[in-house]
Amino acid sequence: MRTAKSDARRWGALVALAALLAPATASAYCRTSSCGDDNGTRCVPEQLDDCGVELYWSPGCLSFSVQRDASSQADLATAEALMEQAFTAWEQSDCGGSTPGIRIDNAGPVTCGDQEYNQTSGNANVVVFRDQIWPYAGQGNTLALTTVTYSLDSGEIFDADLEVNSTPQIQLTTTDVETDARYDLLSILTHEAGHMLGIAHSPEIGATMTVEYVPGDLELRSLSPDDQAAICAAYPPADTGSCDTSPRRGLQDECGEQPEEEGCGCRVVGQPSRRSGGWALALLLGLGLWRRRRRGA
Amino acid sequence: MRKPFLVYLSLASLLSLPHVGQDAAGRWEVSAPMRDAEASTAVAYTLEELIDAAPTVVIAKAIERESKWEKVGDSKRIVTYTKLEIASEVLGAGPKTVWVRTLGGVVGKIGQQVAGEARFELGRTSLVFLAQAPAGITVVAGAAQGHYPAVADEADEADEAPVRLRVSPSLGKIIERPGPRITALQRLVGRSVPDAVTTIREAKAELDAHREE
Repeated sequence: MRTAKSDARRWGALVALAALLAPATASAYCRTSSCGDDNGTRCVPEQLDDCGVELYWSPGCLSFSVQRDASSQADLATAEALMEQAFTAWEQSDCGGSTPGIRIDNAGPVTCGDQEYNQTSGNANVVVFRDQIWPYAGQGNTLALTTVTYSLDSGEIFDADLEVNSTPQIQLTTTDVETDARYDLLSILTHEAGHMLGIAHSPEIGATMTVEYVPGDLELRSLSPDDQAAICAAYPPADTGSCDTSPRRGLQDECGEQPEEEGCGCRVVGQPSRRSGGWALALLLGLGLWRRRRRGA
Repeated sequence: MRKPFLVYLSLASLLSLPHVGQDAAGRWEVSAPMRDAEASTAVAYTLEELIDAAPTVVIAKAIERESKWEKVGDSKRIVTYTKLEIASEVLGAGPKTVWVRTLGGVVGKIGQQVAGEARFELGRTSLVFLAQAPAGITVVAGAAQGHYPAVADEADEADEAPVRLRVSPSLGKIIERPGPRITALQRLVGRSVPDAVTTIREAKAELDAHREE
């Protein structure tokens, strides 16, 4: 005979079994959101204060550019390599056998080192090191600052810039030896890259996107299941082979809005270093075919 | 294996506490909390460092704000000016209202989120460490680390729920500071407003006495 007690036991056993069978993956993550005239987050599982629409790159394609002066603590080649490594960690997340529908290219260095979003001309998602002066409050304490510019209505990200405090007070390190590490640049960049992609802080302890960080810790270079669940939810697996990773209105080398009569100022200042050969090849092939047909006609 | 996180575990749980503000009758009003939504990476301030960076420390209520594009350093970015009505001065003295500039905000249909910056919610009361930037602009010392909203104790169902300080909703990534000193966050978050005021004034007195020696 079934009783309420036996039903409860059966449900309890089922729940316990489900918990055992469930993969040991993420239990919580949050995405940054546009929340009226304020900023917010939306989390999984849902939180009481979830608000607005999640920020995202459409269609999951973006590029970054390191400001060409880089830093006395990390030259251009090192900075570019580390930033690529940071984004690759996100790109290669495991979404149940496939990878997230994002593609991030290194668009090459740019001259402009300002955090800015041009509304009528080209842009760059710039990674810039501040060697001389940290222009904000907290010169001796703030290590990095990410600014994300987005559409209030749709949540689409227009631009994301990352400023790294490399003034003499801040000792950034790139060593792989944990005992020699101080403020591990790759850990910082991997965390900030998550924010550039629209991922917010995670309540999950041990995630790359968690709030806490212990100096010398190199573990935040690699993503936890929680971080991977976040990026997979934000950008479900999709073919990004043919997507355009250019910044909004094209890559711009110089700072500021460029006058229209002089063109938009959008020019390719460096070929994207990854997966961009296909586009150039297709363009050349197309041009060749068109010329052959023209000659034939 | 990841290293154990030694500090701020309690702060993470505090992020989910509700906000409070005072209604017209002066009663504390509890509302849904707001979580951190932005990101920076910063070394934690000690209370002494914050006091050094902030000539004025106040308990104040955000009553008005406006955002606009403005040049900061070499960058043109969205900034928000929030008008604070000073309820009491903890350290320093000044006018009864002050406009404070923070990075980020919304202008038209464009929003800008800036990592680790203090973010004031209208109608909410906070403990704020104020500093002067160039051109006579007032900013929050230590960004989000210098901003402590007053929060009613969620567990207390009494009408006069104790009001404690919480972390700023936009607190960025905080790095454990080397050495034995404890941080401003550790000393202030979770404290009642009167306790925090006493702590700050005592710390300031100790700093002054130490300098006189």
